[in-house]
Order: sequence, then structure tokens, then C-alpha cells
Amino acid sequence: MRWSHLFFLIFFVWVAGCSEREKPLSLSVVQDWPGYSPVILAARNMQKDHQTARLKMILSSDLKNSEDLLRAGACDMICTTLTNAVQLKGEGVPLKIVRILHYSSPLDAIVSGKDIQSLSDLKGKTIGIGELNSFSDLFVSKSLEEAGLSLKDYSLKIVPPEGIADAILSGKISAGHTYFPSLQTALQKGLIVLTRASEKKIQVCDVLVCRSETIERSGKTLHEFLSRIDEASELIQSDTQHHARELSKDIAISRDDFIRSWESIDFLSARESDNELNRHLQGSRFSDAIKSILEFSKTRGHRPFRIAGDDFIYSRQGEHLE
Amino acid sequence: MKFSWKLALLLFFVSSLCSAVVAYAVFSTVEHSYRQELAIRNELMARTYMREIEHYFHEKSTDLVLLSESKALEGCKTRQDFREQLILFNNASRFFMSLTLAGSDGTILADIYGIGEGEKLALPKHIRLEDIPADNTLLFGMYIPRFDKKLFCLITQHLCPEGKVHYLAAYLSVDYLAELIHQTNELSLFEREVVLYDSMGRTLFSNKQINHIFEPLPASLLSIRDELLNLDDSGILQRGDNHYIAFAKDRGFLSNIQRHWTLLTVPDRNEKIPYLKTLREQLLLIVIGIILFSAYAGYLFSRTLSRPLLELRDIALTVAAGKLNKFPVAKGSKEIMQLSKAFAVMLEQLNEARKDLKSKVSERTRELFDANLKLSERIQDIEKMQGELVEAKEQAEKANKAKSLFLANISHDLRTPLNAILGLCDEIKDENLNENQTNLLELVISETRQLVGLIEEVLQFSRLEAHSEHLAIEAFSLKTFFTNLYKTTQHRAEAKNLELLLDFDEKIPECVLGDSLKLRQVIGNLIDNAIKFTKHGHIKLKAELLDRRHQVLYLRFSVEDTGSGISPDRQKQVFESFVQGDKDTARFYGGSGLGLAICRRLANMLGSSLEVNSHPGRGSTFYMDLRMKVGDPEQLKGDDNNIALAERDADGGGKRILLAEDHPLNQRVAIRMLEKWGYHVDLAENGEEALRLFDNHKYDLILMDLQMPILDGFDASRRIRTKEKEQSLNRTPVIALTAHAVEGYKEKCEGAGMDDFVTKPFNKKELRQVIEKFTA
Repeated sequence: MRWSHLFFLIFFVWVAGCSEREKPLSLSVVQDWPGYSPVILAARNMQKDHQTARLKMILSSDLKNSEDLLRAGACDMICTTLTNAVQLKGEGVPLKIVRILHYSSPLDAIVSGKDIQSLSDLKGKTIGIGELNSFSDLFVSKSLEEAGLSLKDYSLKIVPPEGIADAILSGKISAGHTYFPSLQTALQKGLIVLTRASEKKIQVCDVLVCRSETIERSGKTLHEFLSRIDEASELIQSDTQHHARELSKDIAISRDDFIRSWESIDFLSARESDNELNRHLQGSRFSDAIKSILEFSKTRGHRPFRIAGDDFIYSRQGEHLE
Repeated sequence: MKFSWKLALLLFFVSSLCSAVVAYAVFSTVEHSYRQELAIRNELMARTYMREIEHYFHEKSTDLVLLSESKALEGCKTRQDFREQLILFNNASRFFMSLTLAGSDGTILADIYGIGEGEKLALPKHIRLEDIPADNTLLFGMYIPRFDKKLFCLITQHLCPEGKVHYLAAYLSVDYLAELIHQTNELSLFEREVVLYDSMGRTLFSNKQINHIFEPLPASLLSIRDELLNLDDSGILQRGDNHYIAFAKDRGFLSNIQRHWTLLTVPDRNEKIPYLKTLREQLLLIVIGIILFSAYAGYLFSRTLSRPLLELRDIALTVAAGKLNKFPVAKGSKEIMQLSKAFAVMLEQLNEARKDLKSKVSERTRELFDANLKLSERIQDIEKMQGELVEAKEQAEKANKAKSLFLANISHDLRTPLNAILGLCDEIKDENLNENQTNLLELVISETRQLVGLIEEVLQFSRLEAHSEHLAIEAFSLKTFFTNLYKTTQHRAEAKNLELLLDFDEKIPECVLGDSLKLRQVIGNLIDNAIKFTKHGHIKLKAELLDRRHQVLYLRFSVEDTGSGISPDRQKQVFESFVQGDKDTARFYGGSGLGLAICRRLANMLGSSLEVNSHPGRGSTFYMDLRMKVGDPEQLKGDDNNIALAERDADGGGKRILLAEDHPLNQRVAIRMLEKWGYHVDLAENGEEALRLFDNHKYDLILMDLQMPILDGFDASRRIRTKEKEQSLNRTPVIALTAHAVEGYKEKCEGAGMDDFVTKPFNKKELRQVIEKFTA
């Protein structure tokens, strides 16, 4: 070997040693929502290919836990509702929406006893919601508003979605918001569905959010992961039974329930998601949803704030733009 | 490695090190000052946050007090009325998260969402309804079960028209503070942990731990809380080299609600500030640039330096190979050109020197050739001389051998008749002689013995000259030695009316190591001389111990006489060969003049030197200083008490001796002597006869003459030993009898299997000692 070659070899090794090693991307996902299953499958597939060197997944039983991790910077990405994403952004968590997973689905519903036939019958009644200033609150308020009822016409009670059916049956509330898989239980107990989120004019969505600095730091890995979500969705779509079995290790839903619920979810493709995100400034279902959430949160005692598009949405300009 | 690469590498490493050090120093300084500046900005931010929070709570407090004092609630009668009024107010004013009206007992009358109506107001344990102020608000934060949330609560009194006291509670979302800080923080580029805590050490807000509010401060911040107790309203706390925590305390807006709120902005210890990151990257690039540039510059510089040198080297090699006679001027810098000129001058001088050297070498070669010729002639002469020397040496050796043979023969030829004469004289003495005959016979015996002594001296001197005398070291007693010497010489001194004295130092150890025979010869000779040259007076024999070091003795033996003395000019000569005191002495006393010369040589052999102190007319003292080792007394042989040995008769006990001797006179003398001592003697006249007698008889001893007709003593002895071996006989001692008292005979006898050696003419004492030694 010539001395010059050795010299440059040492130099390149030295320069290579100076570069920062990329941290693996970390993702936190709740286990009991079928709408997040393509994300889980995509993560598993990527881990198989890269031996977890580039992606780490934390499965959570509670959305709050995932949000705490994101808030503290302990994870880079979470799947959450748009409502919660807006709230996190309002708190100052540096995040961006990188993927719309799906819009409101029939799996979110307001249920009641059979004595209540329609939403307008809920005047003067007490309705159960999961939390103030949440998607549950928004869904119930907007649904009742469409039915001609304002806040003074009904009362609210904080009831978790899994307790809604029992609260209705015990007479503590007349109706309430619940979702899969508690919705299945409620229906099995003889309750009826007054309305479903998918039927509403204003729809919100579930999204995949990522911390802003992570997008800058690990953009390449993120892009690969996003494309794998599409693949995973197609895989589940093509052979739901097989993948339901495969996913059963990671998600807290039975195989049959998963197969049934998956059919109800209209999972957006990458193309559709990017189109929605790219068009948010021109006005779209997505931008309307954000606007509604911001206005609604003001009525719940939150500080009014404006969301700058680029600061909140990871818009891949030129990609999938129609 | 080439010089240019070495220099480039050196510059690379040096510049790497220097630039890295400089970059590190620059970065550290900038980082330090930048973080300090950030800390100042953080303090400003903390003050801003604190002011915003104070303002927020103050505003909400004011709103609630206004509502409690407004008449909007006065017309309300039913729960629904109250609720509608609360909703209207909440929509009109800045929004609370919720508004609740409770009765005087704390039961909730109305809530804008209808949540918890009929339940009791939730209050912290330390607050009672009576503590709630009428014209102000009480602020607390706690978990409110009916909302399933942690919320801030402002509560105030509301006085109903009927005079009843109601309580109006407004709930504020904790998220609002996060939103407030975030939106204030939008101006800042950096994310900081912002913690708000109260005087009880409870977290009221934390943008990083939003679900852990209303819980005690984490341990890491508790120490800060204690440190801040006595500090001003705002400032910076340094917690490490580059870690600054900014704080701001409330300014009193909230003091009527809950005192001592403090807000901290805590940067992450390892936070990566974009500016610093960029700076670091830029510095890294600069360092890399400097290193590359310096390495390249070093390479170029060294090439510039080394190329002309290499060209110069190539030219020098060409010149050295003889391909160039003239050194060309090399291209390059001025110094290189000067160097090449210097080389050219040097080459010219070298060429001249070479020419000069060639002529000198040819001249020297010619000279060397001539010298070689002369040298070879000289070598031939030397070789010739060497041949002559070898021849001369051979002749000398032949002459020496002839001399030795002559000495042997003359010794034998002299001793044999003398032996016979002495023997016959002894025989005649036993006859009835008159006094005159006896005196004449004694004179004959005396003269013959002198003659034998003279021959002995000449022979010993010749042995000393040829260095063929050897020491025989043995253990002996000096005291016995001197006593015996004294006894044997005393009668001779007395015969001359001289007094012989012995002065022996008793400190001398009993046993010493040395050659007693040679010592006896020296001292005996000195005593003989003293007796000989002293007419009257005394002779003193003295042995003294001069010194002793461990086992080594320093002794002086001396013989002092009162004789005529020796003049100083003759003292040196008396030790020379064939020299006597003076001519008159020689004439008067006779003698060979060898005595003292032999004594001195023997003294030299013993490691000493024989000296003399003499005063003419007063006498002389001959002395020798000797060094001897102390011996082991157990090794001492029996007393040398053999003075009368020769005189004892007939104690041989009839032992049988074979005498092989051809000379009739010697036969006669020997037989007479042996028979007188009591031995039975068989005579053989030659070796063959001796063998025959040996075959037929058993002998206790064989005395074997060496020179005999038919079969000599050597061969006869060899055959006897062979027979003994073949017939497994006991070994019969064989003693050689010879007049050949020259060097080499003793060894030759031992080689032929003989046991001892006695020279002729026989010394009675010596012969008897030997015989008794082997027949005992």
C-alpha cells in the first residue's frame, strides 16, 4: 500500500468517526384500536428487516401514556386523534402530522337505551362523554348541535367509554359516546346506536404525529416507514385473516373482532393522506376538522391559538399532489 | 519513507493537534459565553412567563369576582336558570373550562355542563368553606373527580339577594398554562423545561411532566427550592460548567391567593443548541480544511525542498559512477546552485588529488618492490642461520647426553672402587692393628670419605645447575631435627675443643612442613664449615620464630661461630662456585669450594636466601630466613633416631637376602655388612643366577646391582615381577644398588619394578634404613 493511500484511509476513517450516529426512530402505539394495526404491522416488518436498529416500537394500553412519552421526548412518533394532536401542539409539543390514518369511523358512536329514538330525544337528558375537550366531547356536542340541541339543553357526565353501557342501563345517563370494542359490548347489552361518527358532517381523524426534530434528523427512515404503512395496509386488506393472526401478538383485540372492525375502517392510502395534508391550506376535510377543533377548544376554556400549516403538518410538496 | 511524505505527515499531525486544540478552546469559550447569554435570556423568559401566569390568574380572578358581584345571577331561581346564566357569562367573557355554583353547604347547584350537580364542591383538605373570601378569590389546584381532571380552581363567595352565601367556582385547565407558555415561548428558539411550584413544594405546572402536576417537586429540584428561599425575585443559578437554571418569583399579584410561586426554566444538561451545533460543524470543517491545507502545503514545500536535492543526488551518483568528469550546475534556488558549484569545485580538487595520488602510489609501489626483494634475501639468510642453530642445538644436546653418560660412568667408576676401599678398610679395622696402623687406617677412611663427599658435591652441584633437584615436602619436627643435628655434630666440635650450643625457640610449633633432607644438608654444611674454620670459642646453632601469621611461620636459622671471620670484600664471593675464603684457607682446609654455593642454591629452592654477617677476627654468622607452614603433628614419623642404627649389630633375625652383584670387592663388602647385621645372604653374580636362586628360594629382600653381565638388574627385576604375577606370589622387595648416582636412574628403576634405590659406595646407615624399612 502506498503511503498516500494510507494517509487518505486514516483521514476518511477519522472523518467518518466525526459524523453523528443516527438514533433509532421510536414509536408508541395503543394496542386496542384496529385503525392503528397497519402502523404496528409496518413497524414489525421494518424491525424484521433492520433488526430494530432503525425503529423501536413501544406498545401502550393507554393513549395518555403515549402522549406523555411524546411530550417528554421519550418517543418520536405516536398514533392519536387529531383532537389530541391539536391539544399537544397547543401545549407546545414540537410535533407535526406526518400521516392521516383514517377519518371518523362507524366504530365511534353515541348509544342509548331503546327509550331514546333519536338525538333530539336527548333534550334535558344526561349524556356520557369520556373527557371534556376531547374527541368524545366534540363528537357529542356537534352531533347534538346538528340535532338542534345546545349545551343548556342537556347535561354531561364524565364516563369512560367502557362504562357507558352500564351507566345507561343503571339510569345514570341516557346516552353516551363509546367506541370499539366497548361499542360491541354496549350493543350486545341491548343498547342502540343513535349516531356514528362516520355519519357526521364534521369529521375528525386519527393521525400519526412525529416530533419536528425527528423529521429533520431521521427523514429517510421516516419516509421508509411511511411507505411501509401503505404496504401493511394493503397486506391486511389482501389477507385480513392471516394478518389478524399475526397481529394478535401485538394488539389487544380478538381475531374475529379485528376482522369485523377492520372492514369498518376506511384506511387512507399514502397518496390520499398526502393529498389531504398538501391541500390543507386550500381547504379540505382535514383543514375543516382542525378549524372545528380549535373553535371547540375555545369553548372549553382553552387559550385560542392559530396553527401555522407548515409548523403542524409535514407536507411532502410534490408528492401525491392531485 | 520519503522526506516529503514525512514532512507532510508531520505537518498533518501537528496541524491536527494545534487546530483541534484551538477549535476546542474557541468552541468551549463560545459555548460558555453563549450558554451564559442563554441563561440571561432564560431569566428574562422566566420573568415573562411568571408575569403572564400572574396576569392570567389575576384576570380570571377578576372575571369571577365580577360575576359574583353582578346581578346576572340575582334573578335565577331554578337550577336551569343558574346554569343558563353561567353559560351565558362563560360565553361572553373569556372562557373558563367550567363554572360552578354551590350552595352555602357546598352542594353544587349548577354547572355549565351539568356535571356533578348535587355533589359537594371538591376542596383541598386545608381549605374550609369559611376560608373562601367574599371580594377576592382563592386559588388552588387539585384533582377534581367529577371532571376526572387535575384543574386549577378559583373560588369566591356570591351573596344571594336573600342574604345567603353561595360559592362560585371557576375551573381552569392546566393545559392553558402550557398553551400560555408555549405561545410566549414561540419567540424563543429553544425548548426548555418550565416548572412552576408553590411554597409547599408542589408542582403547579410542568410542560414536560403535565400529568404529574400537584405532586411534590422531583428531588433534583428540591435543593433548588431551598436555595431560592432567600434570593431575589429573579436570577440565575449555576449548576455546573454550562448549566444555568433561571428562576422568577411571583411579584405579589397572587399573594392574596397563594403566596410564593416560583417558576424555573431548566435547560437539558445535554441539550444540543442549534447555534452551537452549527458552530461545531463549522469549526470541524475549518479544522479539516486547515489540516488538509497544511498537509498539502507541507507536501508541496517538502517537494520544492527535496526535488533539487534529489536531482543533486542523481548528479552526484552519476559523477561517482564515473560517467561525468565535470559537475554541472543544478537548477533550482540560489542555495542549490551555490551547492552544486561547491560540488563542482570539490570534484575538480578531487580529480587533481586523484592524479597526485596515482603518481605517489606508483612511486611507493616501486619502493615497496625493492624492499620486498631485500626482505626476501634477509629471510633466506635467517633461514640459513636457523638451520645452523638447529644443528648447533642438536650438537649441544648430543654433548649434554655425552656429558650425562660421562658423569654416570665416572660416578660409577669412582664409587665402585671407593666403596670397595671403604668396605675393606672397615674389614681391616677389625683386624688386630697397632695404634699407628689404626691411625693410618682412620686417615685412609677419612680421606676416602672426603673424596666420596667431594664426588657427591660435584654431582649435586651438577644436578642443581641442571635444575633437576626437587623438593620433597613432608611433615617433621624442627625441634627433633635440630636436636639430632646437634647430637651428630657435637662430637666433632668437641674433638676440636669447641663448644657447640643449641638455641631453639620454644615458640616454634612442634610440626612443620618442608624438605627436611635439604634443610639438613644446608644447616649441616654450615655447621661443618663452622667447625672447620673455628679454632677456639664456640659454635651456636640457633632457630628462632620471627613472626607467625595464621598457619605460616617466619623462621630464621643461623650458625654462629667465633672463627677467623670473612673480610667484607670476600663475603659476596664465598657463595660463588669453587671459591673459598682465601687461598691460604683453601690450601689449609682443602675442599671443592662448592659447599656454600650448593647451600645457597638449596636455600633458594627452599624459598629463602643464605646470608652472612661476618667480622674478620671475631667470627661469622650464616643465616637463612625461611617461611614454613605449620603441619599436622599426627603426620609426624617416628623419631629420626637412627644415629646408632648403623652401629647396631645382628638384629636382622636371620632374614634371607639375595644379593645380585658382579663386582667381587662389592660382593665381599656387602656380604660382610649384611651378615654382620644378622641377615642370611645368598649371592648371585649376574641377573640370570639371581632369577634361578629366586625360583628356588623365598627371600625377604633382593639387593640388585644394575650393571651386571649376562642379564642386568633392570631385566632381572622385570622378570621377577612377571613371575610373581604369573605364579601369584607375594611381592618381594627389590632394592637397586648402583654407582650411577645420576638423574634419571631412580625413575628407570621404578619402571623396572624395583622398590627403592641405594647408591654405591654404601652408606651403612642408608642401606640399613632401607633394608629395615622393607623387612620390618
